[in-house]
Amino acid sequence: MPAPDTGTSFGDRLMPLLVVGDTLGAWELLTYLEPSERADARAWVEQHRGQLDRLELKFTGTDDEQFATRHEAYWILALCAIKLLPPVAASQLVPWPDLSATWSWSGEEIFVQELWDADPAWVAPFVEATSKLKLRGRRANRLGTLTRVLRVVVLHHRLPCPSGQAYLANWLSGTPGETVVECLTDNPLMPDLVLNFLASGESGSYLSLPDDIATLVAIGQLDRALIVNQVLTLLTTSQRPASQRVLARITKQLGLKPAEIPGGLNYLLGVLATGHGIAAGFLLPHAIELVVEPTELTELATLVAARPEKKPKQVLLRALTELSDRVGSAAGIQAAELIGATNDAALAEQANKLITRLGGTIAATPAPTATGLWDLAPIVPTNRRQLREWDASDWLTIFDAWPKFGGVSDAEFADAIDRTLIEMSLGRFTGAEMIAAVTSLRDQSHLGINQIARAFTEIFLAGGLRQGWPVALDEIAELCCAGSSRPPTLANLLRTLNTFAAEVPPQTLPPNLRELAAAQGDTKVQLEARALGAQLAGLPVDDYLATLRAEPPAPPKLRPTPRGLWQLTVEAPPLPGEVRVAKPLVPLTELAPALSGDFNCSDQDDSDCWVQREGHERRRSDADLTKPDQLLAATVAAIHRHGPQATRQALAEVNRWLPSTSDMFPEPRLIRPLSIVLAIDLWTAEQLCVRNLDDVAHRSVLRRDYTDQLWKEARQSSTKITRNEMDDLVEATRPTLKNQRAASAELPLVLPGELGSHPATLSFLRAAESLLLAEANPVVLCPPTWGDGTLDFDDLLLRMQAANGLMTSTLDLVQALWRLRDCDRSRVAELDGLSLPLASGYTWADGTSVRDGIELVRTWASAGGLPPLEVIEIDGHWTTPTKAPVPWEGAELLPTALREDPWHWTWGVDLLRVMPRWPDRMIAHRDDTYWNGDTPVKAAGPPGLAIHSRISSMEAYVDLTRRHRLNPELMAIDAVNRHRTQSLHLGDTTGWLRKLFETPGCFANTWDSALSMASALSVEDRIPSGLVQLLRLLNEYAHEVPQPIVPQQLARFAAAKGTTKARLEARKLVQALSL
Amino acid sequence: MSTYLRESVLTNETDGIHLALATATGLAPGGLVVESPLFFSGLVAKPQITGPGILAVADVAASRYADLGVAAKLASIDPVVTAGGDRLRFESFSACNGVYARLDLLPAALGEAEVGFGTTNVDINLPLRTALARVNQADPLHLSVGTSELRVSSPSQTFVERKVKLPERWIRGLAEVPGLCAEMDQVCSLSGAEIAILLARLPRTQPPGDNLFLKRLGRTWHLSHRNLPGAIPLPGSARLRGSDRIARLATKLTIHQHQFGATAWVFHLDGAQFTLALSPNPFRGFSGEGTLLTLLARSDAERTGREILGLLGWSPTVDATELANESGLDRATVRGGLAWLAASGRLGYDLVDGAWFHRELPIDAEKVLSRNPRLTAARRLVTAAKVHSSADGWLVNGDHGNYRVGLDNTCTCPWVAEHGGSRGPCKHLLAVAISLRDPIGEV
Repeated sequence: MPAPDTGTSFGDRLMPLLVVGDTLGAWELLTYLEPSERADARAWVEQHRGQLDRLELKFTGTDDEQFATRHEAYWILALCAIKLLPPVAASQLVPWPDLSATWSWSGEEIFVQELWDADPAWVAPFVEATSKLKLRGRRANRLGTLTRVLRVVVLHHRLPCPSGQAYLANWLSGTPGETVVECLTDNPLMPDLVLNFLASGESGSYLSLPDDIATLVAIGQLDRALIVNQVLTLLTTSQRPASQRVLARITKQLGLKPAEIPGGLNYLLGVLATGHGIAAGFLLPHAIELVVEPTELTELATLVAARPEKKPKQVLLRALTELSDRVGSAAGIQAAELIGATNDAALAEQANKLITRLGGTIAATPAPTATGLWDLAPIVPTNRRQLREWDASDWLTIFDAWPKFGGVSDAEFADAIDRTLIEMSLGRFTGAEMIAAVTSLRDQSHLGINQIARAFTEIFLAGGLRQGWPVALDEIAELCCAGSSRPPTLANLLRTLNTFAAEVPPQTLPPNLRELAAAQGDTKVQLEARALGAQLAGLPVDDYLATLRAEPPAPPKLRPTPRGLWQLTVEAPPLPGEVRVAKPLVPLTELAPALSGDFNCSDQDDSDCWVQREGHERRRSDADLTKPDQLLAATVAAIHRHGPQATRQALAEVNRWLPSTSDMFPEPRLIRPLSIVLAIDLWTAEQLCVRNLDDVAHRSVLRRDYTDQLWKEARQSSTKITRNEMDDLVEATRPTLKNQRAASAELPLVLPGELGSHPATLSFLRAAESLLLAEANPVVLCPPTWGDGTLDFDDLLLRMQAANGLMTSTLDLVQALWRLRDCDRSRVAELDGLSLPLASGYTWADGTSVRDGIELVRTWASAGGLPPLEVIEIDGHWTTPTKAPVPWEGAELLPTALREDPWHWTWGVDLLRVMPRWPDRMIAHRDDTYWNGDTPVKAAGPPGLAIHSRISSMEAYVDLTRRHRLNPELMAIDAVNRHRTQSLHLGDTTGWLRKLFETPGCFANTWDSALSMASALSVEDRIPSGLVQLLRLLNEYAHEVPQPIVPQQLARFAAAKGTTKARLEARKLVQALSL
Repeated sequence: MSTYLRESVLTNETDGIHLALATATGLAPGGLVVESPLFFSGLVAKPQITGPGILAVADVAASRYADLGVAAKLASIDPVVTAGGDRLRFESFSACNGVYARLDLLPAALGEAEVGFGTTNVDINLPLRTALARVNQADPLHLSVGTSELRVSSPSQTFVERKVKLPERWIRGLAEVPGLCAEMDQVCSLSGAEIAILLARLPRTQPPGDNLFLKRLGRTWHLSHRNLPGAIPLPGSARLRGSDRIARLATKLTIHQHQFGATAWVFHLDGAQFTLALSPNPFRGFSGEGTLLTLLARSDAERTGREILGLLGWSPTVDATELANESGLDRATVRGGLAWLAASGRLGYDLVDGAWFHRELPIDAEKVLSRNPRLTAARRLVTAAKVHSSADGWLVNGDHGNYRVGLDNTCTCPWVAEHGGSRGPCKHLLAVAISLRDPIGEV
């Protein structure tokens, strides 16, 4: 239908359509424009250039609705471009980066239809120009809309596959299929699609592409010759390294043979010279195979020698014997000389051996002469920018081989060097921070030798040689060399030092390095140590080695004096289990203010049973382990004393609004209270009754489960729904405590968001049951006596006596038993004469019902109370065979989900509130990511295996070891378990053990644990690679232990045959502990 | 804007490989503009150098080491070739204009065939690059630069005529780099395995790479990020990879350094030499270095330049003394004239010979001169009588303030404060220089 001519401008007529996202209306406007109006319309489009922000439109509705309308508006601008402009100009004004089909279907449909209906002569240049758009950064074709749209247009008009970067950046968008192979099989754009994609240089992120292409060739979807030709062509065009890697791997996967390479060796030499190291690595063997002339070998060797990578040099060296047979030994010798002309002592040694074997003579290398670097004063940068604040731990980051957060920037590195030079110029440089960092990182196997070499190179060249050399050689290199496990790249540091050795006055190597150099063997690090020692001594290497080996052995080292680490203790604050909870005496008038506290249900890790990390201390909230139950008891007592009406009247004053506390929360916030307080709120609102407790327990779902189900149904029915709409849907459809009777009986009750877990639901039910019984029974049995949530028998007995003969909440009683501390069995007699009629059912496993709660108490006490929790790990999940004397499963009102899942897990205080004496139940899986806090290491009872396996902060370890609560046996079991499942990071473990050794008050307990772990790991079939470091650490601190005990397993390991590094270290340890 | 009437091709014939480089409109002796001029045709003596060498120049032209906005808009540009009677010189710049590459094919490489005179662009297309990369070195190579055949476009021809235009940045660079090279000092000479040792030390990072300083201790090259005494600057270290393709063929490498950080790396090949010049800042190309401005400010420079231009004759090496003798001018005047010619893009500089060489870019040379905006601005200041002498120097009324030019060639303007002398004299200094030599009215 033609759009009415209102006489207004094009922009005025389009704007209302943009504001509501009326794509169809916009299409009609554009389609039925009069020829005289088109110029105005075109000018409008060219002026606004597809930029919606310039129009300052006011969208209405919810955030999601505005978002969706906005996307429709972008499609309208896209339609304007293709309806009004010539093809190339239109391609530039379609706002591709802002177009996404996720939020809009109609816009894309109309747009595509318009392109389908357009003249192919217009469409072809549009497609080509669009595919070649420069879309970078934020504007890149990340969403793939451009590709998806162009693809269907190209197929419709039978156009060639677009070759532009914009199209190929998301080349498979819109193509049916899950995998690359599926997408390319029977694809009408093949083979051009894959050829163009390879040429685009974007293939680097598709690591599986070589395999995929090999598969497509194997199944006949791709012509091998075509791909090979394309790849060999593209290898000459200097694509990005990642793409070159993919191209080179394609040649490998397709089994490229040297004879197939057009241009043969000349082509390969070009690619080897200009290509990335990995590509060169793939192609070098082909080049070696094609060498037939001496000059070709020389050229290849020159090329390989000029590359920074070591691997190609080694490959060529290994091939030189055979190559010498092929082209003559003279060329082979020359090639070996070229490869061997390096600072790498090991490579030079290999080359020299080869030269000798080929009959050549090794040319004497002229001795380097000093250039005066030793006497150069530190060059302090002038016009220096402000150096950032110095942090002693900077060297820890700089020298870390795998630093967190990407390490330091170049500017920060330069700052560290500048600061070192300044310290040197002021005569304050000691190198102590560097040495401390190296010591720490060495223990963690995180030492970045190359970073150390880089730092000292900068310092030496800038005039810091005289002061820095002793630190680099006598301290750091010597430290790295000490012990049996050296950093694998230590040779690199020694090689770097050797390049400066000619500048340094003659001297000898420090003891460990000397010992290393003198030892039998020709490892890389030994060769570098000898080269360095020889250079420092001014001798040829062979002469130096002979001199070194003729020296008498070094005297044995003296046992160091203990620092008293073992005896050092630090007083720790009392555990929550040592702090008695104050009994609440809340008058009715004070109840509302008390219940108006911060009982936020999301503050679940804010308890004294946790050790907060340093700097992560949270504000205190009232959602802790004890206070809600105390207030429940006070409320129940008030109901009984003052009656429900007066109490409800008083509780009507409860304020659930938390005032503004910080910039983060500038407005008052509505608190969603935790389970027990929610029960009080609902009781106050008269929304609790006995009948709906059963629905909550057995016919309910958590809100998140209900929402998940609705999402699933929406997806299955392809219904488009926004988050806000989903929230509305949940609110509209969920049966609640309030409306449940109006809803169908088949629908489960959807629990409010405050009850986010089944243990929380259990606490809610328990509180609700007590509240509903309050008029008859003023006593709540379960409120804890101690800060760790546990209850004394004396307190329970007093409460039972007060409630004698009164109808009692079953859940309250069972909860009280689960909180009960150990008590003497003989006290069972004190229960005689008491009776607690149960309000809801309890059934023993044999089906016998219990009517009097005293029977449950008697059973509990007679069995000796709650047994220790035994935990078992099955595929990383914890479970237990341990049964309580009065299991929760007997309670009729136990939520069904808890009955079905033997180890139902939830995070935070909810579970600890239910079973405070089994804190290990909070850990469900050995390796799950936990919340930001830590395990409840200060909870009741000694921490078990599950907690030991999940401690994740140094603060927690410090707390445990200072209290001697770290269990060496459990630490050993966990270490062995992790080792067997290949999740043990012994390097990291050794690092934090060292920190604990050095933390006041932690040594003794940590020593026992570390020794136990080392001992247990030493008898494993596969010895962990980091055991050497752990044993070395123990050796280092053995003298601190006053009466050391040698574990039998460790003694057996040390005594067994073998000379592995671990065994040698174990022998040293056993010897040290036996002194 | 000039046109290729055909495309460059490489064909395998029974007598060897034929590399036919198509030329665009060029300049030849006499200043004549020639369509597809023929500068060389013959069997080259060093095919193993010729192919990789031309590819290396093309590599640089096709590379972008620093992602400058303007560079992104530039397509791969074809090299410029100059035939100097006995040698061929292929020149190019990277798309970012920060790297200059030149291959000099010397008589020993070109063999017996005659070399013409002139300058033009040569077409290096992608298929040709691929074909060149696959040439067998053992085969004889017939090289032709241009053609003598008369070709007329016809509808049956598949080749679509391609336009080529020397970008503005190239023109400025071609005028600037020779001046910089002429002021460089050789700081290092390496041969044999020493070249490989140095190149192996350089990290293969993403372009443009770190700004490094190379310090040699014995056989070892150390890399530092700080300017150390005696160290060779290598700004944008990855840019040196423009030499990758020919480094293995080098018998000698000489490194030349300009006082303000530009460096030139000359790879001596068998019968050829490959020069790679790197700008002092990888994110700023060769343009506006202002090295020749002081000389250009001399009013007699243009007169002299025009006078001696006719004596150059596309000479592969320009001897200033000989020119002075021929022209009857003194050496200082000749130097000024040569500077003017270099700034107009009519001279290149050969670091090995230590001499200028004549080349004429196929563009309007007069426009090149007008592309020195600083000089133009300086002349405007003088014309507008903005230069006044004072007791301790001069006072120049600039556009944004009054600046003092001292007797020691210093200026108080912010431009000098920012760049020091690294980009030549400022317009105020130039204005003073012009006013001293050319009273108002004669400029």
